[in-house]
Amino acid sequence: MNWQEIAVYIIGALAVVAVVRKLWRLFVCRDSSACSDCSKECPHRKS
Amino acid sequence: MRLSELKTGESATVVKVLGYGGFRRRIMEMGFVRGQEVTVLLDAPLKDPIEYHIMGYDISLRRKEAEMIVVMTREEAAKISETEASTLIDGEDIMVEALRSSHNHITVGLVGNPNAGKTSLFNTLCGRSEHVGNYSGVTVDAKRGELRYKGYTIEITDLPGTYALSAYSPEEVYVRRHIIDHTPDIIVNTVVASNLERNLYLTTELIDISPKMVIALNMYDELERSGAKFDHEALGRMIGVPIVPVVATSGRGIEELLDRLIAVYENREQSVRHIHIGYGSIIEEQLKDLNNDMRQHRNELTAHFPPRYFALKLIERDKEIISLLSSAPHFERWSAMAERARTQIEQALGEDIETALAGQKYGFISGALKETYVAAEYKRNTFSDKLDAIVTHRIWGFPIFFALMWFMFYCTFTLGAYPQEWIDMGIGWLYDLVQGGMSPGPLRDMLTDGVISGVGSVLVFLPNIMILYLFISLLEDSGYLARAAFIMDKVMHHMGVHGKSFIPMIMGFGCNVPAVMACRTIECTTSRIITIMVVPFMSCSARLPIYMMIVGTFFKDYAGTALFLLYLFGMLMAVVSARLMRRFMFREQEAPFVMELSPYRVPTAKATLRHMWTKCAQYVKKMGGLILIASIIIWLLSYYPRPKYDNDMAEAPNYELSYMGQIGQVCEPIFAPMDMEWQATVALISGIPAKEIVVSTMNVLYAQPGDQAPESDDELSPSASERIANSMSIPTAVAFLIFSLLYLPCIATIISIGSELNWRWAVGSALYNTALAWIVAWIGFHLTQLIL
Repeated sequence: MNWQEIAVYIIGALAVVAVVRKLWRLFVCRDSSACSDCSKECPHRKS
Repeated sequence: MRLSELKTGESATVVKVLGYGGFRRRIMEMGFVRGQEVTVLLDAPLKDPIEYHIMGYDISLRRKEAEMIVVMTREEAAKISETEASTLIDGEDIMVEALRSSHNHITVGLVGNPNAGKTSLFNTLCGRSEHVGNYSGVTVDAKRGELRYKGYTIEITDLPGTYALSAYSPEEVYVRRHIIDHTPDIIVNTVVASNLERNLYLTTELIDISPKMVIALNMYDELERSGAKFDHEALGRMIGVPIVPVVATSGRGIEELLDRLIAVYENREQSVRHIHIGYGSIIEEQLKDLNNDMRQHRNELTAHFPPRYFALKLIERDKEIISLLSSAPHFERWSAMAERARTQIEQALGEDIETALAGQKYGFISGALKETYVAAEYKRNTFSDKLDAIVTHRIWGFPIFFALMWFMFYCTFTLGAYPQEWIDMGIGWLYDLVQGGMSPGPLRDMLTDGVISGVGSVLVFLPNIMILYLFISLLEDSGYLARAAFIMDKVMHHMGVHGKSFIPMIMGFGCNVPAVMACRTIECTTSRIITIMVVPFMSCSARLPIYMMIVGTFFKDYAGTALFLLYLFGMLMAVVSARLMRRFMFREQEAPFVMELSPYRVPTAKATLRHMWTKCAQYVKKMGGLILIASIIIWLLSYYPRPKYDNDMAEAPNYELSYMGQIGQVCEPIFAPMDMEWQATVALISGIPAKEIVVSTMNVLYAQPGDQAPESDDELSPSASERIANSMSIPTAVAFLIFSLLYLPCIATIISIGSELNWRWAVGSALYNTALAWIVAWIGFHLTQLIL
């Protein structure tokens, strides 16, 4: 396994984690901006 | 925190007492004043009342009274001191410092009629860029912002517009609930200077609930220009509320507004006094007994409103107030008294109670304005009237509307093509740079074919999105959108929905999520459900890149018109679906159409550019977030598994054997009747989280390692574009466009539908849209085959 392949696996794993995190926020906050532009009063915004 | 949240044995220091005059005074007389330490001695077995120790004696309070007292524990004080970077160490001083700091924190609720400019005021005060528009119901949710002014931190909540505080519409209930739950220190009541009489109606309702209030007399420049004379100081003294003229869009009067707001908070404002709106001898006579009885048992009432307000609302049979009081021991007696009073008032006045109360309130306003306001001579045939005669004309109204829509899409395509070219060149340059600068390997392939091709193919449409939002912003801010809703009213009635439904539908051209939320302003439940269900047929800006990609490849010579027809087709499908829903699911008639036609206003460059900038920033952020992640995942799934990476870069990835290829081949039969290849099938499936991903997936799947940079006049890299053109016939392209237009909305929209209605509707919407999309795409495919 060369260094490029290792980097690809790491990026892939991070992408999967990001998807899970995004979906979780989307379902919990029910807001498409998933915290980035949302100004709703919401405890998840602080996280 | 509130005193009621303290546990037995815990101590805290009193910060402030919320609530209205009489209650507040009584609690403060008991010793609950700022700086006093209070300890919880005992919770009664049923958690009510609670016994406290304060100023050397024990006192018991009901839980609902304790809820109105704001206190601070030592832990909270230490936290505040830390965040304020205090150098003080001594415990006492930390508390003093924290108390001073918390006293200088003012919470403000921004209320007012719809389209009174609350959000403009909010944006100016807090330096925010929340969406504003020249029509009712732009704000459907509370927005919170903060500013610092003269040592005070002012926390402002922008609330949805409301005409009154009864329980008639969801916004009215929402605003009143906010006042109950959050008890803002000050209410800033935004009143439109050019429409005083109607706007002051809400003021009379607010006076009834006795909050600390300041009136922001917005759009004061319009009143000055009209030639009307208004002694706002005199009216302020008369109703006991300071009135400050402001122009929210330019910032005029904002400092005075903040100064007066602080003066009211600090009880320094001279004009503040509590008055009662007089309801005439008959109503007052009937109100008196109930009011007195409630006063005697005021500990059974919540401390948010005075007894007189509760008495009035009981007589009005206000559902929310009835439910709030239903647990009170004397509720049965009060209900009977209220019913008796209601019957006697209605018999004596010969009209129902709502009409009688509204008449009295308008009588009060009219009397107050008679002494302070001289209206300008009413000018007919103003510019607004002349323009309305043309744009809402029964014959010309429709062609003008459709011509404007066509122009919007024409400009979106043609004007957007130039900056699109430059971005395309930039992306091509970056592609070459990475391709030439890195050694061959999977990381290089990921960066070029996954990240740069995937994200770049969507980013390239940013100028088109900007132009589309510029037009939507101009339509909203000028006031034309409300006129469009007016002329479409008859069509909407034929569809079986409300005229107001047209506004969320047009907003859907931008993004379906706020459009679904904007449906809250539709009072009629069935119309609201139908509108929410058809909003996804309105092509959002995320679908624009798909259209641009296919239209640019197959119908380049008449792209503007093709785009316009696509959007029109979406509207047609919305009409058909709404008609079917009204016919088979909701047979009852919709409520009558009430839509305000506010005067035309020249959209300010600042507001328009801010709106455009916000939307574009969101689009770019999406590129760096969801689209980037999706592009990487799509690339990974289309690149792996590989038999063994042997460093031979001439070897093209075997897409068909990849995970993505396997998924595509499983799904291929779904679109086989429309001659779609597996790549197009996978692209459509990948668009479920966000529609832009369809474009990035197409580009990743149709691209090959070693592609040259895209040519300036193509939307995709040449080989990808050519391969799409080679793999799709024109009928397949038509089917692809129709399916993209109609199939299930993105996850965010589905979630919005679920939260506005319920999950059954959300799932129903996804299934219905997808089934309809397939059927119509199939028909479109065969019809095009016949025509060609």
